[in-house]
Amino acid sequence: MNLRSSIAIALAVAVLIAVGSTRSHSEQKPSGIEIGTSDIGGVVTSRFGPEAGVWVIAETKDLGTRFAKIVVTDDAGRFLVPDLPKAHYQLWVRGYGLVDSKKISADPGSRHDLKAEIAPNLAAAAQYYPAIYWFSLLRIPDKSKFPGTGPNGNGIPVEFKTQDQWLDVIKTNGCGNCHQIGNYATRTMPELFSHYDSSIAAWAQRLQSGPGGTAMVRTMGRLLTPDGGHLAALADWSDRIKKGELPSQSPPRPVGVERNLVVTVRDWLDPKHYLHDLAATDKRDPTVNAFGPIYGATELSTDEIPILDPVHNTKSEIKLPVRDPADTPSSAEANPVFAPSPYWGMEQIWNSQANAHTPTMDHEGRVYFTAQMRAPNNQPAYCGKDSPLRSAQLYPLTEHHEGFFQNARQITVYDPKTQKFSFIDTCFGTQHLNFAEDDDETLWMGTNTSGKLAVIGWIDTKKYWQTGDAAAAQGWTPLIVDTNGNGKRDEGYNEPGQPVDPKKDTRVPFGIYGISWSPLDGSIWGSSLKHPGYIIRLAPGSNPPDTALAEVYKVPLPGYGIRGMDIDRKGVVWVPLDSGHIASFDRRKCRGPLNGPGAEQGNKCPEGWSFYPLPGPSFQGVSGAAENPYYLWVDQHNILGLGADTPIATGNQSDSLHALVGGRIIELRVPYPMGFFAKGIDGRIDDPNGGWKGRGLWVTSGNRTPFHIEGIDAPAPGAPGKTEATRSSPLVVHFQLRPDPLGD
Amino acid sequence: MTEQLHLLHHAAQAMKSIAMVSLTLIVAGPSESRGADIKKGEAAFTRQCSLCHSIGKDDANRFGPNLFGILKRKAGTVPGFKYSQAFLSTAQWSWNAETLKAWILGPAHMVPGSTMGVFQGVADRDSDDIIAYLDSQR
Repeated sequence: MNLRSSIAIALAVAVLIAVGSTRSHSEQKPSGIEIGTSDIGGVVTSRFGPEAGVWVIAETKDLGTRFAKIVVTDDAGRFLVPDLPKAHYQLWVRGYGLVDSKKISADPGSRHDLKAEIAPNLAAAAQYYPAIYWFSLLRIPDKSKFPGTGPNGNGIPVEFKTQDQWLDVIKTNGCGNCHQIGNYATRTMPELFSHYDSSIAAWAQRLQSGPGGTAMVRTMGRLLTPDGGHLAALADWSDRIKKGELPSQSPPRPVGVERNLVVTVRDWLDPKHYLHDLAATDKRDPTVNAFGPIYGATELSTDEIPILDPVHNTKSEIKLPVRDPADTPSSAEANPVFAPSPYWGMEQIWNSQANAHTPTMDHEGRVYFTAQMRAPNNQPAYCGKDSPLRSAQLYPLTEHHEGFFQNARQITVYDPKTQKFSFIDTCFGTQHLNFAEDDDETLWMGTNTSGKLAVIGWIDTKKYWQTGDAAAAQGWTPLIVDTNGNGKRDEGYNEPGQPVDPKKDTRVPFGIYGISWSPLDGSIWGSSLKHPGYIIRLAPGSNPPDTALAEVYKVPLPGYGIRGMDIDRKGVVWVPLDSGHIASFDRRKCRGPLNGPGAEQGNKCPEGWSFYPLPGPSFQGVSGAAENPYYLWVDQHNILGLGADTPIATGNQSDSLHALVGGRIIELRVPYPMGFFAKGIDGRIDDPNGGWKGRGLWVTSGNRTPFHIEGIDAPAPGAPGKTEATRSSPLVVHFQLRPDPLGD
Repeated sequence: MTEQLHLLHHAAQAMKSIAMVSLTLIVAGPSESRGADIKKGEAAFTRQCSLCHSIGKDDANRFGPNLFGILKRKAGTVPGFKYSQAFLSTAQWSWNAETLKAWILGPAHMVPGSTMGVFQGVADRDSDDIIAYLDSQR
C-alpha cells in the first residue's frame, strides 16, 4: 500500500465519521412531506439512520426522451421529486459514501421510503466520484522540468516554458476541450486495446481511433518526450487505477442551497453525434420562446440539428442546410477515421457541411447559428479592398482556404415561425455570438482564428431583416490597440511581429473565442485562448470600421488557461480558468492609463483581476483544482434564483455547474448519468409568475463522445452502455432551484 | 517564383540536416559499432513513434505512414498514404541511416510545414536504437 492509498483510506474513514456525526445530529422524525399527484416523496435511510444530502433519482423510459428527475434529501433524509410527467418510474438512491440502492418501481402520487446502501469499501464508493477525483491521480511533470529544453535537454519540448502551459494543453485547450478525463470510459481501457503488452502502446492506439484521432494525435504529438511524456503519463495513470489506486479525497455531499436543486435530464440526437451548444431564449429578454423548443448545434458531427420540446418531452431533428451544397466541404475531410473506434469501428460518424458551432436567439424567436454555408475558398467579392464596404476597404478579408477549415463559418438563421432558413454570408469567420442591447439589434461575433483573420465582426440584424442585404448589414474590424496613446484609432498601424513604431497604433492577432456585449458602456468583450489567456475589450466608437479601438488584458498569475467568458450588468467580465479558478476583471479598478506603449502586451491592469478557487482535488505538486472549466455564463436576470449577476461556470471535470455566490462556489451537480460535460449555458423564464417552476437553466452536454456518458442500465457505475441502444445520447439538462429541499 | 524559392530553401535546409547528421555518424561511427539496441529501440518507438505510425507488415497507415521496411525505401512512397505537400516537395531522398536520423531528430527542421512537425523529435541517445529497430522490421 503506498502513501497515497493510505491517505485515501484515512480520509475515507474521516468522511464516514463526519457523515456519521451529521446523521446523529439529524435523526429527527420525518414529517411534513406533502406529496401531490405528480410527485414522488419519502425518506431515505441506511443502517445508520436518515441519509442527508444524497440524491433520489426517478427515471422513466416511457417518454419521448431519456428522462430522469433528480432531487437531494434534506437533513432528515426526506425527499420530494416534484412535477413528474405521467409515467412509470424507477426510483433509487445515489450518494457519496453509498452504492446505488436497488431500483424500485414508483408512480407519481406515491410515497416510498428508500433504503440507502452504504458502500462496503472506498473502492466501491469511489466509482461514483466525479472524474476530477480520478483525473487528479495523473502525474504531471514537475515544475523544475520547465522551461523545456528539448529532447537532448530535460526532454520537455521547448514550446513549453512553464508547467502551467503544459497543464493548459492537457486540460481545456487540449484534451479537456472534448473529454472529461477521469470518467469511467477514460480511466479504463476498452477491450479493443487491451491485448497490447504495453499500456503506452494501447494508449497510442486509442488516441488514433475514431474521427477525433487526427486532433488527438496532433495534441499528443506536442506532449511527447523521450520518456513518453503525457502518453506515458496516461498509461501510468490507468495502470495504477487498474491496480487499485484510489482517489486521495472524497467529494462532499450537497449542503445548504445545493440541496434545493432539481435536475431534469433529457436527451436528444443519438450516441454517435455530439453537440457544442444550445439556445432556449433571447439572452437579453429570457421570457422569449417561453415553454418553446430548445435548439442544439452539432459542430463537426452532423447537419441534423436536434430540437427538444420540453413540455411534451419529445425530440426531433431538422437538417441545417448549406447554401452551396455542391462544393461546401464536410468535416469528414479533416476528421477521417484512420483507426477503429472501440465503439463505432471504422464508421465515419462525423460528417457535417454546416459545422454549426453555437446558436443564439433574437426577440422574434429566430435562431442564429454560426455555421458554414459555402466553401471557404469562395469569399464574396464584397470582402475585398474594392468593395463598397468600409470594413473591406480598410481591412480586406480575401484569404482563400482550400478544403475544410474549422472556423470558416458564416451565419445561418432558422425562423421557427416560417420554418425557413436564411443565409448571411459574412466575410469573417464566426464562432460564438451575442446580441447587443441596441436599436440595430447588432449581433457581435468572434472568429477564434489568430493571425490575419483575427477580427471582430458584426451584423446589423435590423437592417438585414429590412433589406435582406447581407453585405450592407455587416462589418468587421481588426483589433487595433492605441499604442501611440493619442486616444484614437489611426491607420497605418504596426503589424504583429514587426518592429514597433511608437508613433503608431498596433494590431494584435488574437482570435476571439467567447464574446459578450457590456451593459455598462456598450463595449464588446471577448476571450482569447493564447496562453496564459487574454481578454479583449473593443470600444466600437461612432463608426466602428474606422474608430473601433481594442484593449488587451492578460490573465495574471495565479490564473491561466481561458476558454469562454461572459459579462455582468455592471460590466465586470467573468472567465473560467484551467488554473482551477473563476476570475473576474473589473476595468473600473484600473489605476493607470490603459493605452500607450506596451498596451498591446496586456499588462496594463493586473489590479483589475480577482480570483476565486474552484472546488476539487489538485494534481500532486500543483496548486488549484484539477478542474478545466470550459465556459462561463452570467445569470444577469436571476433566472436560477441565486441572485442577479451570478457567474456560473461549467464544471467539466465535476459533472457540475459552479455558481459563485458571495465568494463561495455552489456546486450544481448532475449525479446521473455520470459524465456530464457542458460547453455553454442558457437560462429561460417560462412563467415570470410561476416561482421556481417557471424558470431554469438549460444546458446540453458538449463532450465529443456522448457515448462515454453513463449508459442506460450501465454495466457498472458511470460506464458506457454496451450496445448502441444503451449508449448515451447527448444530454439536455434543466437546472431549477427550489426555496427548500421539499418545495413543490 | 516565391514558392520555388521556398522549396529550394527547404531542400537546402534538408540537405544541411543530412550533412550534419552524416558528420556526426562519421565521428561517432556506425550504429552497430556503438551497440544500437533493437529492444531499446522498440521501447523508444512505442513511447515516441507509435502514436502515429504502425510497424507491422500488413498494418494500415495511420496518422503517419506504415514504417515496415522503411530503410532503403524512397521517401514519400508508402502506398495509400496522403503525404503533405511540404514533405513531397522536399523529401527527394531514400531512407537510410543518415536520412532517417536527420528526420527523426528534427522533423520540423528538415521539412518545415510537414505534418510530423508537431513532434519535437527524438533524443540523440534514442535515435540509433530506433533506427536499428526500424531496420529489423523488414
